[in-house]
Amino acid sequence: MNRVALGRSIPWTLVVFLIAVWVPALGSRYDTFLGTQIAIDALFVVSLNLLLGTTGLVSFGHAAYFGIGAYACGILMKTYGVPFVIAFPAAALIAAFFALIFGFFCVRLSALYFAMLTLAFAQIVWAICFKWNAVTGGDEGLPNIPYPKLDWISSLPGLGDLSIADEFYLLTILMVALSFAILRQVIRSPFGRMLTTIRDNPERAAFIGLNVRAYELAAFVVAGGFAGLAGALYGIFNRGAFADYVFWSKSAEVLIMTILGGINYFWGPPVGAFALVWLNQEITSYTQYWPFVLGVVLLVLLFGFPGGIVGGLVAGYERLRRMLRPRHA
Amino acid sequence: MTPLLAVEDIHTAYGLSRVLFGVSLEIAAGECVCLLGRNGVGKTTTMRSIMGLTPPSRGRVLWQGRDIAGWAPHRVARTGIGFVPEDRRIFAELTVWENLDVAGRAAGRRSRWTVEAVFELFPVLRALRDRRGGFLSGGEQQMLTIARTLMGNPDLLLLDEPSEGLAPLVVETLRVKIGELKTQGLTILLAEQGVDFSLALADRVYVLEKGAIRFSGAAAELRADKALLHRLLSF
Repeated sequence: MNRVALGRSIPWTLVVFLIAVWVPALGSRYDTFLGTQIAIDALFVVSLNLLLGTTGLVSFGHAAYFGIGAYACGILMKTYGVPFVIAFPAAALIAAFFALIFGFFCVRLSALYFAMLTLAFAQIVWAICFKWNAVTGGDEGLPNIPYPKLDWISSLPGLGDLSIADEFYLLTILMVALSFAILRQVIRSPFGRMLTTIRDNPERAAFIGLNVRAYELAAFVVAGGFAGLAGALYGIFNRGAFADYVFWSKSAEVLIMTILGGINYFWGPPVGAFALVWLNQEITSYTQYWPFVLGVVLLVLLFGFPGGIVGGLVAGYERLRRMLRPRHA
Repeated sequence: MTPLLAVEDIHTAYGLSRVLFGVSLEIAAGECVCLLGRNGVGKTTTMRSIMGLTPPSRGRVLWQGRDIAGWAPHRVARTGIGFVPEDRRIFAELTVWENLDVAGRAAGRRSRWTVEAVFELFPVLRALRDRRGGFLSGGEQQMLTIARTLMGNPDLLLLDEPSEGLAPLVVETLRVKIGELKTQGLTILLAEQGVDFSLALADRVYVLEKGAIRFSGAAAELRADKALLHRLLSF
């Protein structure tokens, strides 16, 4: 019970946001760059965890909706000159729309077959992005997505002169924080509880009258939409949308981050994203064998802390609390 | 009068292993009917067939005159059949209240059962309102499963071995509670191995053996004829 109290009594999204706001002022330009990357990945993994941790669905193709979001936002802004305020939500809607179509077929299958079909759809999306030169730029990608107009951020009182990268960082963490707040509500709502019953036991959920497929599809669409938002931010951040965003290795990366952080906690996957991005930066500066180190780290974590980093931290905290508590209490 | 539920000659198999060989039974509104039989004779499979969890390959399941064989489980649940499975597993991650709330919403039909009303029936659960399902005792879980099923406002309750694995005192409480539901007019199909438990509650009895009905008659008849009982259910 205390575990629940510990997590719920603190508005973590607000706390983390208020800390993150200081990065451009206190850190280097490179810190801001890493921060943007981590914030975007954090949104991407939290969207995936709505499927993995909350509903119990393993998607191997979540990068599809991330990539669709990046391309949709990029194409709208670059090719059609649509302003960011419209292109950004549109990217989420377009990604959600594709999630609806693909998900319609995926939720008809279970477990491994579900996972394989999500992968198959993602690879189809990748092939289209890679080949459809006229729209996506093919293997060249879609470079030079314009930055949104963000001068207004600098004109806010107390912020002073900010670089474009700083402005975009602040915009990113604001969007991610808002998305977190929404997803948190979704998970705590009766709808979220329904998803939990499906993860617990889909058959049992069905015979209490729940239309399991419909709820799984709804979760798939919401997760796809938010992945699309993350993708839209990522496209602008990297000044372009590329077919790599949709490739299966991207789907694997986001799964690794999610599991690394811990799927049973809302903040698990973002911690995993933070750890992976940070480790990647640190380790590649010492050795070129980053994948080897990553593999070892993952092995140790999976065997040592099956609940991920956050799961391990919570377990450690519980043990400490029990040790400090007098025996007769 | 058409019975509330009529199962007509159903054959059910799990893959290649056939379990039911032409089971037929009828339940009239307000009745408490017991499905007796030893372990593995097809009691659970009969219930799973009715519920749509393991659809029969042949035969009909008539619910208020309509054939529902082959319907998806959630549709069967919504038409008014509540299933309390043998493993009596609740949603372990959710609290008692959340378990009930979820069931009330999932059913999607107006219910005379509110959380308050099921707490009236099972006062134990009221005290455990915010306890997570995984932390309940076996008897408490069984009561929560029944309470959860009631939240779906069933017209027919399928109870699969409710007394299994419970302490005698808990079994007695459960018997009283099921009796109360019966008095309130709920139709009940009870699958049991425990003869005393079921004969105390049932109006009529079907005895299953090797996937077929071997006997059907009034519970009183079986209660009175110990020799017959022994012959049918020699353990």
